[in-house]
Amino acid sequence: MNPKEAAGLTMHEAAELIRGKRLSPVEVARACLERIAQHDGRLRAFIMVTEESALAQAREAEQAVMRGDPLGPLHGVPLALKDTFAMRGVRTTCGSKLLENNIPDFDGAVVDRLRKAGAVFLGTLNMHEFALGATTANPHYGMGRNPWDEGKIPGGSSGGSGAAVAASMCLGSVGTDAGGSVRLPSSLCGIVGLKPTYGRISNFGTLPLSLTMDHSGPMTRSVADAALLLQVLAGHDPRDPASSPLKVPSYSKALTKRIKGIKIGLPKEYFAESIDPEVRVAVMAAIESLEALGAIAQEVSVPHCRYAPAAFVPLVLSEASAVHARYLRTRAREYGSEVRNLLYTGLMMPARRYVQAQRVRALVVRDLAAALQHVDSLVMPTVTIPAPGVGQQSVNLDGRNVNVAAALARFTLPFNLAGLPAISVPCGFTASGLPIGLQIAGAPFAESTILQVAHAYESHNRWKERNPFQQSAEVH
Amino acid sequence: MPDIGRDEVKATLAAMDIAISDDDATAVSRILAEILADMRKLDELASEEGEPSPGFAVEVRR
Repeated sequence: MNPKEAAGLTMHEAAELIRGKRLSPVEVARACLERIAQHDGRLRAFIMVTEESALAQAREAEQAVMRGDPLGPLHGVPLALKDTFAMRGVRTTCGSKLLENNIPDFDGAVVDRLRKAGAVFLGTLNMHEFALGATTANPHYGMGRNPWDEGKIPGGSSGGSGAAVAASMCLGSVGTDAGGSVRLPSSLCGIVGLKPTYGRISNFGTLPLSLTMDHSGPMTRSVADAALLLQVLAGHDPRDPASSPLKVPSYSKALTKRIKGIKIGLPKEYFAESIDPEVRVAVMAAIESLEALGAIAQEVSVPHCRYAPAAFVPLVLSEASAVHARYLRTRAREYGSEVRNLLYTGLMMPARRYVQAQRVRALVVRDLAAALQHVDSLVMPTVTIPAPGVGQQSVNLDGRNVNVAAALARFTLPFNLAGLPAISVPCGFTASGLPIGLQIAGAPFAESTILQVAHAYESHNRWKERNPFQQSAEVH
Repeated sequence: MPDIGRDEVKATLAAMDIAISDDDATAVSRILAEILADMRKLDELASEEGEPSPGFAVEVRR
């Protein structure tokens, strides 16, 4: 196989070829490392490339195949993770200078499960400092850039993951999502991003941002790969007090089911919001496509979701500042100014407003639960706009200037407030070639349902066949 | 609720043993004012029921 083609394989394809001895783990790891060498100087997707260790892991994986050892579901598959998951002996910075010398002496839950499944780790990925932001404008490790247009942001906070997966620098990634940080960069970079139910994936060994809204989730080039990664990562962990003891179903089984008769809810308040016209057209076309496959679309109402952003901000800043209070006393100058001032702001939040935000959160949870009594999933845009420019502060929507940060996360964060599963799947491109994402959300622990809908959509559309460098070749 | 000015930010954080520069305190005052202004829309909901949720996660784990 041509080395360039190996880097472009899905995780499923690579795992199958490796099991069948038709692809060497060393070959596919080298292909990814070549892509990193070729593109990462511009994209700044990686904080650290662990080339030597990756090749050693790949060689071990190859020997295991040749010996006929039992192989895990990700055997020999090269991944790269957001720099926030504890990995034994590997620097884990959370995108900060403050933790530049943090070398864990243990594997966190995510790394432990991936390692046992046979994954090869290529390095750590860039992110918004301490995951507190949506742009991946990282003052310590460089400005993350979008592979579809390097003048645009990849989104965040898991922006390095979005860019690395889209640019075939790794076959898949895991990010974290406290307000949209898996789904949002997935939408802006044209890949699949899944935030599961709160407690479905253990947060043990994951550096926290917001203890009641932190989720980890797969970022991949196909829905089947997201299901595969979730299967490996999901499950109870007594080391995380929020970890769910519920049994983990077979997610791949869900992908074989048709969606005829499935009810999809269109939250009317979402569609009444200011949305970029090209995003709206692409999402409406995706809904028509789902209907053509037999889904039954109906309007639902979630009236309090319009208050969700105003409730989310004081909650996330209060929770984040509680995590960082100790360092703000002693090492504040080591934070970038943007994140430092947001954390200070969290410490200044009036208690009355914090309690009010919790009350509104309860109303948002109630609205979403009520809507999901009538439908199997909710469908809407992931992000109201395509990727904005690097450094862009505002965007014009419906004739008025809207703050970029507000435009990015307003459709994703309600599902963090409620802890509900939600997936972003590519559903088209703007005329200028920027990806657009469709968000599908479900009831607690209904990951199978949203994967089923996303997979049905993906299978009948060909968006995932595009990649950013093919497009460049066509343009130039 | 009146805006929280730069000096009040400095004094409040000083009480938490945090020393903050004038520039940072000015920035925090501005960010806080923007957040609290946005939160005023939540006052519309004052008459509605909405119990503080100590752990929505408890609900979803059931």
